[in-house]
Amino acid sequence: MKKNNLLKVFLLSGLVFVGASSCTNLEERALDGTIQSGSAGTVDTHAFLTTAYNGLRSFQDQGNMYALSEMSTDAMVGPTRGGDWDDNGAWRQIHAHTWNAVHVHVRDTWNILLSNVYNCNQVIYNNGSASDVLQARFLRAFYYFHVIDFFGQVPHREQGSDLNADAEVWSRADATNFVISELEAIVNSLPARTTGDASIANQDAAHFLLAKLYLNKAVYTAANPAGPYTFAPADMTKVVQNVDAISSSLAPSYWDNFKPANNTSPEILFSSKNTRSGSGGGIQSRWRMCQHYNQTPGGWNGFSTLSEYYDRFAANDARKNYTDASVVTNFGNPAGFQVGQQFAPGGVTPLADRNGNPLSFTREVTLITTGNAIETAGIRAEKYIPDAGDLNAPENDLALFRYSDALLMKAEAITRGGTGSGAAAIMTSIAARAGVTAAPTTLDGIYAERGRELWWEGWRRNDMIRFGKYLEARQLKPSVSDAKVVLLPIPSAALLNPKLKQNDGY
Amino acid sequence: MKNSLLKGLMVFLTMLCTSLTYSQDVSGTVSDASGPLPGASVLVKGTTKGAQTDFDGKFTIKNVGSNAVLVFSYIGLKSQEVNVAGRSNINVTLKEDSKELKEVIVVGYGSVKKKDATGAVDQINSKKFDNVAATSPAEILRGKVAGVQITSSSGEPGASTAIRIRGNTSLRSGNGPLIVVDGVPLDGGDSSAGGADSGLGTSSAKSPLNFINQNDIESMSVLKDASSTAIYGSRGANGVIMITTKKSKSKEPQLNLSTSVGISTYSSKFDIMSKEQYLAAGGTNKGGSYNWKDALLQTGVTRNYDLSYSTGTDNSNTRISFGANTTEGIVKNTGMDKYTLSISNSTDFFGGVVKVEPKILYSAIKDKTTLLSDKAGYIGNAVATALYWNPTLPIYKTDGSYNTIAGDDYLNPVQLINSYTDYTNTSKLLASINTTVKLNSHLKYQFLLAFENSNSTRKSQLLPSMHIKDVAQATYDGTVYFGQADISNLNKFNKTFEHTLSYNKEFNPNVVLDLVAGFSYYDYNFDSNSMTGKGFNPNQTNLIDDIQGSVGWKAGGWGPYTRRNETELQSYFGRATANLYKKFVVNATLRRDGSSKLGANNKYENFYSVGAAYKIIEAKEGLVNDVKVRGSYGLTGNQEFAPNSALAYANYTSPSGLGNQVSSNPDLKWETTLSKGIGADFTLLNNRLTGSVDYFIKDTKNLIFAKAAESTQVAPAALKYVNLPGTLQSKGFEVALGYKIIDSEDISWDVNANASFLSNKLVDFPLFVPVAEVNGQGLSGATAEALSNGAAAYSYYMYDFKGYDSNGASIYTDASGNPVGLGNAVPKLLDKQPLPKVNVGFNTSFSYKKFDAGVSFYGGFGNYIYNNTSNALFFKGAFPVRNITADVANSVQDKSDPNSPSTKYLEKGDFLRMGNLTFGYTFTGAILDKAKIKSARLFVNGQNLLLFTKYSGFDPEVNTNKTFNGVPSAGMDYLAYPKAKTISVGLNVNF
Repeated sequence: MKKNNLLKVFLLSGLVFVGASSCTNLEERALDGTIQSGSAGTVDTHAFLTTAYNGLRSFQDQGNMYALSEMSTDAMVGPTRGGDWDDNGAWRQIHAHTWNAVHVHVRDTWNILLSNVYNCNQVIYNNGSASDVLQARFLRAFYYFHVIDFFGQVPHREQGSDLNADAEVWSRADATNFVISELEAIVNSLPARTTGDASIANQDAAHFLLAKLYLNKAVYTAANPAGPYTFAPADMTKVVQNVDAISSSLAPSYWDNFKPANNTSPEILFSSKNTRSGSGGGIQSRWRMCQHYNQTPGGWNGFSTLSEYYDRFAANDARKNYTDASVVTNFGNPAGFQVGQQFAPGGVTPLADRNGNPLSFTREVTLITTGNAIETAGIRAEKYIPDAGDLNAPENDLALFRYSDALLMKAEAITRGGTGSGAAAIMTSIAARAGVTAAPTTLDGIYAERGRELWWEGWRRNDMIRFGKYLEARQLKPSVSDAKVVLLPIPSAALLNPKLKQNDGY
Repeated sequence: MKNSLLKGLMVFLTMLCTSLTYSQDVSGTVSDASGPLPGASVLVKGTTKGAQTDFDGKFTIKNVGSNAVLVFSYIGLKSQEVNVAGRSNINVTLKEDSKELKEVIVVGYGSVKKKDATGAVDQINSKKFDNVAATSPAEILRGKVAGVQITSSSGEPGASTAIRIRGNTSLRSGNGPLIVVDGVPLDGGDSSAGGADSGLGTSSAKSPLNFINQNDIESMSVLKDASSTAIYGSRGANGVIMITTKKSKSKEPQLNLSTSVGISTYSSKFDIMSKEQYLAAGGTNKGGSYNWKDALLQTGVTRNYDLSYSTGTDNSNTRISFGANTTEGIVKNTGMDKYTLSISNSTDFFGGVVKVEPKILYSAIKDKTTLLSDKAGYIGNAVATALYWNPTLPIYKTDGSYNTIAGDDYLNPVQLINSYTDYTNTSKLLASINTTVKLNSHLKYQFLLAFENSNSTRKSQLLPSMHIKDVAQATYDGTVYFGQADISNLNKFNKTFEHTLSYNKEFNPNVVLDLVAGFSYYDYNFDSNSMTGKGFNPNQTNLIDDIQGSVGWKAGGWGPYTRRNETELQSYFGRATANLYKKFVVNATLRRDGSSKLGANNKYENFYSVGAAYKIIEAKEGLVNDVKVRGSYGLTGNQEFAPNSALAYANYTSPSGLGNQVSSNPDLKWETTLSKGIGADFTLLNNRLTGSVDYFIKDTKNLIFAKAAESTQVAPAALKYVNLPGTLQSKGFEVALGYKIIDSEDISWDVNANASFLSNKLVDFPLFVPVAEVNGQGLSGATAEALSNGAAAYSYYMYDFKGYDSNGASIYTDASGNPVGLGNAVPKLLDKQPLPKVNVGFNTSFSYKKFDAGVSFYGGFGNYIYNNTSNALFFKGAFPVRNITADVANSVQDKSDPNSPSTKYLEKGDFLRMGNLTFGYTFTGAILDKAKIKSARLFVNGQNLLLFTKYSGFDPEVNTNKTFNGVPSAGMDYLAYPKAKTISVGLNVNF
């Protein structure tokens, strides 16, 4: 009996020991990552800045901000081609202005822009280095600008905001004023633009963005987002002043801005950088999204421009095509717009489509292509010259801000009543480089010239709204759109934040 | 006082008399059909005097009255009463207990007699499946237990299997039950490495239950309601499956050898056009011929070898088994080889005060597969490639090289299968030691220590000679290099510590108390890494073992990836069961669980249940023999969600940025399921009919859900885990019946049938979440199902197809239901969903002398399947470049009509399948005796020989993994591996 008791004591003490040794406070550890919260540790502010810069690569994709900016206009259409490119109607809805609050590109655009605002906030609110904070403030202004432009309302979080609480929301006008004041506060502290690399936040880029904001301020502060807009002369003068503050010049050739080594163009004020066979975004979309499967570089046979838009270019406009012999040797066809029979590299052997029909792009296209032209309908384009060095991971940077755009903004601002001079000279210099006659220095002339100079560069929606053309009926959108479409809907799940209200009409 | 003295005296005198007049010693042997039975209990009726049989089945009881009655009993066997009648030696053979209600069922931290169970519990014992060549542990349960639904993701050997007990209780992934093997709760994740998405779609990990050899399983019990699962607290909401492995039953050495060989063949019908049909439909004649079945399929051979032996001494017994199984799939280059080892021992020390039970389960599995991705886009699946190849186009050119078609997205199926290699080696060790200390006759202490370690490596490669556009290539110095190799590793190391104290006391026959209290700690470690290399020297053929040849190192085609996390769980639990007046059983369970995964403010939660049962009728003769009613109420939880969901988490991403950021949520708490159930168990018709009925309601609240980033902006881009308001409500009714038609010496025939009826609904659900990604060319961003308030979870959500217009364009409906073209169509939330509303199982077994036969059927009804395969491949526009089905070729659809996801591809999923058919013959007698063979059984087994369905795809039992933002799907069929029918012959010998 004694022996038994001893055993019990021994075993029970063992139990207590093992029990105690396995007690834990259940604190979770970050084993394969890092906890990034101002309240619960340190924040790697420089890594967040890098992340915010990398966010610019989202603009290289063919969808989201790019598709909403170009495909919703008279410049681009993403037709459904038999079994290809239906994608749940996403592309057709953009061109037809029939998107809704659960549209995937609307949702993703909202997330891309605002998550990058968050990345910038992490730098700004957590004692990043002075230089990093300046850059982050510029990038945040850039992302906010697009939220203002697309959605109107702008959610924002101030320093110390609890991420589990609903974000505060600015009206479109308040957000515009904030971003302007923010840019004006930092513009002179930002570094000058580095020669050969416009991918870093710089004074020229800040002046450009300020010019954009002042030029569109009438739109962003209008009682009705669809207009009418009243352009204040003081704002227009600000546009002129900001453009004048930019230190840049036009590149000798228009295509210098889109060739693989386009970082050398003096005209690119801000870019999203790519390194050949190295780090970069998806700028290959700029050729693949249109090119047929059987072309070189092989493509996805998707988007087209419309003949109405294409016909606005003069036959000899240098901006239509880049015809350098090396491009024909490597790829068979000139870069730029492609219509008619396409060729294999060398430019001699005609290509056929997958059904065996000649690969000849037609001028006309429909939202759902039919008949023999299922694969071949529509004029295609390569805005950037494919990099033969690596077609998947090319060298071309994405030009986000270009000086010729700034000059046209200045001409427009003067025409809209801003103080300044040289509008006609601007029109002449832009046309001269393209080898065409200058457009008249009128709002219509400037609008037309912007359509040609900046084709497929992501500004068409912004321009069409400001010039009051966005809702108009056009080639593949036979009726006038509902005025609501000048703003995108707030994504439906975002309305879980009760401070956001769905935009009118949705 | 005087009275009681008198009573005492009388009792004393009576005892004295009894012993003086009649006392004697009785000894003997207790055995069952297979030999001496150790551990059987022998009791002198009406007293507490008794003994247990030793390892030879022998017992001795001293001083037994010559007219006493001995009661012999053993778990699972029919008790026998024997009158001593003056004998000193009594040998008894116990027979199998036919009455289900007498069955003892393994439950969490103990066992319970079915007749005393307050919860909905069921158990399948090896007797019921030993005679059947099951191919996996999950297979054993299929169709056998009401309310348990087993769906393989495809027909591939070892394919992942969704086990659902009483339907879904969660909206996320993590609806699988907790699996407990010999008391060790397994973590819920995958053990094998899944395929990385490197441009060709992802592929799923294999079933985590594969590591157990089904021949080592003694029983599987299924705990379905809160009353039985609350003891597992936060892990009990999806039900619990308790697997108990076999142990040595006798001291006499026993050797068992079983072997079988089977042939698997393609069993489906598929309407893809033949060469003649293709040409008649206007196809392009390329002058040769091709048959997709020749390109893709093969006849698979399956071999099984199992060897087990068991032995024992007075204090110790041991069982060891080896298993080897090789299965060839019916798709070329696929199959699974599985090797298992199991060792179990039980040893008594200090005269039975301490019992030590070490156990080892080890498995090594080699899975081989071909390019079968769940989410293939426009390219990248061997099945698709084989189906759509032009049937007039020969695979080889006249010079013997592969025929190809311009445009790299039209692949030669044979070249693809021959150019692709993919295998996974997974080894897993589950080692445990369970120590039981009898502190006194009522109190027992148990310490369970277990380690689970698994290592899995998956290697896959696509040869550089195979060109797939934009995929499997890298450019270096202007030259494009092809080929791709992927290697991924997954390591898990889990620890389990459990201390339990159990107390059992019969205070008097009317009050029996059973108490369990314990502490447990689990530590789950997950560690994985993978690498991808693209672009290889065109002459290199072994890429995976020489991956450093990839030019990706220099050209951006190099992708390393690592992951590691740890989850700790700590719990305190207790259960009290009172058995009152032999009529009324009541139990109460409490478990307090804490997990490192939860938010800092909500680490712990209490789970509980109460259950009660009342035996209205017990052990009566006649038409009504036993009737018991029971009810339960309880709260259980679910913790199957990703670690690090509550933290402000981020990973570094190249170059030097941060990605995968999670918004911290310190308030994240357990998802809880409140369940209520009532049921009845009964035996009727002179103990011939046994059965049970159950009705339950489950309400899952605090739904843990990855909220879309847009709802929390300005915030990180990643999903945010939150507890959503709203309830997932499910209800169900289950009935199980078993009937002994004949039960005589020579003939026995019984039938078992079960059915369950299930429905669920989302109530007060604040979101509308499209789920179930549809994949294929031109289908980016398309989904087929939705989570929506007021609808069943995963209700289908798509365009409502109404036919074709005169131009051959599809007609759908607008918001008000009017017919419109695609441009104006609006998707509709349909009152159709993917989970069967009714599941049925039916099986019968028959034996006549030495001959036995068995057949089992199972089926599901009331569900719909989304045929993503047809959606992606079969539409007019694909023809004639690609082959399509005759139906579509002959339809009026125009070539330009897009294949938008719609009800065109939604089909009824009703099916009834003959799962198993077995014939066996057992040899005994002189010849066997000479060879020292106790018995030998020869059997023929057929699996999946019959299927009744109208579904047009390969198989209606399908569940392609279409997880989208962490939300699983159901009922999706995308290029799923076809199911084989298998006929095997086997021999089972006992020495």
